Amino acid sequence: MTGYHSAERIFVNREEYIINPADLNALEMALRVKDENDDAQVIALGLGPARVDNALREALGRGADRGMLISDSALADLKTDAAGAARLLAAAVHEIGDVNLVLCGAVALDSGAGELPGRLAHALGWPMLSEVYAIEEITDTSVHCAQQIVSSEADLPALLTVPRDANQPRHIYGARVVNAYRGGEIAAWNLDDLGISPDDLEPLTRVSGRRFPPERTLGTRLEGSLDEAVESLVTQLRARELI
Amino acid sequence: MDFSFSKEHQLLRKAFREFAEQEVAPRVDEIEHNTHTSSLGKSGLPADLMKKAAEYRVMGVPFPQEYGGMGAGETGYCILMEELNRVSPSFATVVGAHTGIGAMSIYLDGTEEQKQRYLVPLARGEQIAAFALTEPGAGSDAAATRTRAVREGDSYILDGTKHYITNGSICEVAVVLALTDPALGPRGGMTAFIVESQWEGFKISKLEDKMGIRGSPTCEVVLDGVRVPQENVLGQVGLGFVTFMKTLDVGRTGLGAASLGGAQRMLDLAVEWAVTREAFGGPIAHKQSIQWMVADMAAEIEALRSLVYRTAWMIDTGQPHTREAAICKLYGSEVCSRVTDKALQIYGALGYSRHMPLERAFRDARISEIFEGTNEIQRIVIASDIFQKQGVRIRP
Repeated sequence: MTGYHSAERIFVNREEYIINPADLNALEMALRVKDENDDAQVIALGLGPARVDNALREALGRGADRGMLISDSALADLKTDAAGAARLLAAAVHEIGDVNLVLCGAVALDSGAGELPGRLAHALGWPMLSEVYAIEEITDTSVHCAQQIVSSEADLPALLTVPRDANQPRHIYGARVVNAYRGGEIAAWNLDDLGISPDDLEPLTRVSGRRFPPERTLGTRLEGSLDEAVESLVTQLRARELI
Repeated sequence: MDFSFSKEHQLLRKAFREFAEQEVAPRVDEIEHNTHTSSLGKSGLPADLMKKAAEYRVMGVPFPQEYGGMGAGETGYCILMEELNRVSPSFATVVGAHTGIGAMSIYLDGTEEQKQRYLVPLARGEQIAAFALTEPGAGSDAAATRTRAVREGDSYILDGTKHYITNGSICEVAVVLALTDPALGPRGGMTAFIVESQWEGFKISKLEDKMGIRGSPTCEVVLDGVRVPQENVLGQVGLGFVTFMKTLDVGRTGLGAASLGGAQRMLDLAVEWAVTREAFGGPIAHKQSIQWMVADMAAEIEALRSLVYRTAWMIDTGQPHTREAAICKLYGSEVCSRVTDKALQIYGALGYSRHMPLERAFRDARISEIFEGTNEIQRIVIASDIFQKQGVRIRP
């Protein structure tokens, strides 16, 4: 049975915060660009409370060169949305300067909305290619990407969204973790640094409810010896007229 | 007093767990059945896995980065051993013999030149180390070492047999204890040497067919007139016994950490089964007999965790730790055996089946009460330290 339960509240596991899985795939795609281009630099950009610092250090542990955090106590009280987040991130991208590729996880695990990358591309005024599985070629002026069905290209600078499982992210390098924590601080910006006032972050959308994702039903486990399991499988497939 | 792991250590644990679960766990059967060959033609671990371990610096966790290591100290190394032993005691044993004692002895007592020449490739995982102490006539009684080292010009000629040597068949470098002055014995007559396995006269004879940790190669090493240059003396001539004992003091802590990981996994499996398995109309977790076993397992594991990481902290902060390290090894190995036994009991006949990981864990756990100094030796070390503080010197 597939269905939606309405949920008043979603309980967050407060013991462990993780990097959004699709963002790890986006990071891996960026690191592969760096593997091929010695002069490329990968910068992990985070937006959120101070604890996001740990996620950025994990990104350093996986191979990013620098981590940047946008954090402001004012943000905790603001009910902003993807449009507001995109404004902040776009300002940070301009502040970093000389950025020619922004890679985003296609969809966030917690909201499932997938709205931010489009808003960010809009705020930057850049072309966007979504659901990119691999970068096929990157030149000084353009990027060529493989999507699920087609291959597309866009002029640089551009924004790409990367779906979860587009690639196998590399592991965390322990030595990089040691350096990430003993090396230096993660650079942090607040709203003033980015020249943005809370009024600029008026939401365009509101969350009006939450629900659990569709329940997944477990498959049937075939018990017994190999012969018995095969016989049972064939019987069930025949019963459903699949063979 | 602060008992929490730092953010750095938490992220290191995540890194090690990711490596253990994604790289090692899918290979445990392959490792157990030991079908791989090393460059020496003897059994070892899958070459691609060892290459990956080197890439992620898993083979040099405690050593400073200037020597090719990860720079994570003893605490980082204990986290690694805990995470690896949760998944594969065989793989953890190879890492333990290599890092915890083999390379560690060079880090502790090597000259700068020896560290550059040997520790750097070992810490990077480009080479593998072994720690050759035990002999047919000198196990717990290490002072009865018979391997001779006779001075000849600028070299020493080594003759003797070392056995039960973990990594012996896959090592590029072995640290060997030998008698330089039989009259003085362990007090001034034994010297540690760094020996390359490619040197003439370094021979591997039989591979052990062991009860557990079957994926870690253990063999006999015969030193048949191996010429070792004088610059490969590790530490001072005559003080090799001290170098070896000092190294074991550190290695034992990592062994306690490995036991902690093994025990924790058994508890996790036991709890999972206790809530799944139904008998007499409900999950067996409702039975007090099961609850008490689980509670005893958890209590001992928590005590061990505190002990291991306090000792690691003592090492990282340069404090004396001989007694605590021996307690880590003694208590850790016994906790792991007891907890594994209870987990198997909770699983019942299913736990006895080779299809389940408990049977292998039961065999794997047993060695920890024996190697790197039997638990009887650990008790002597602990008692010696206690009585020494009373001015009484006890002898085994």
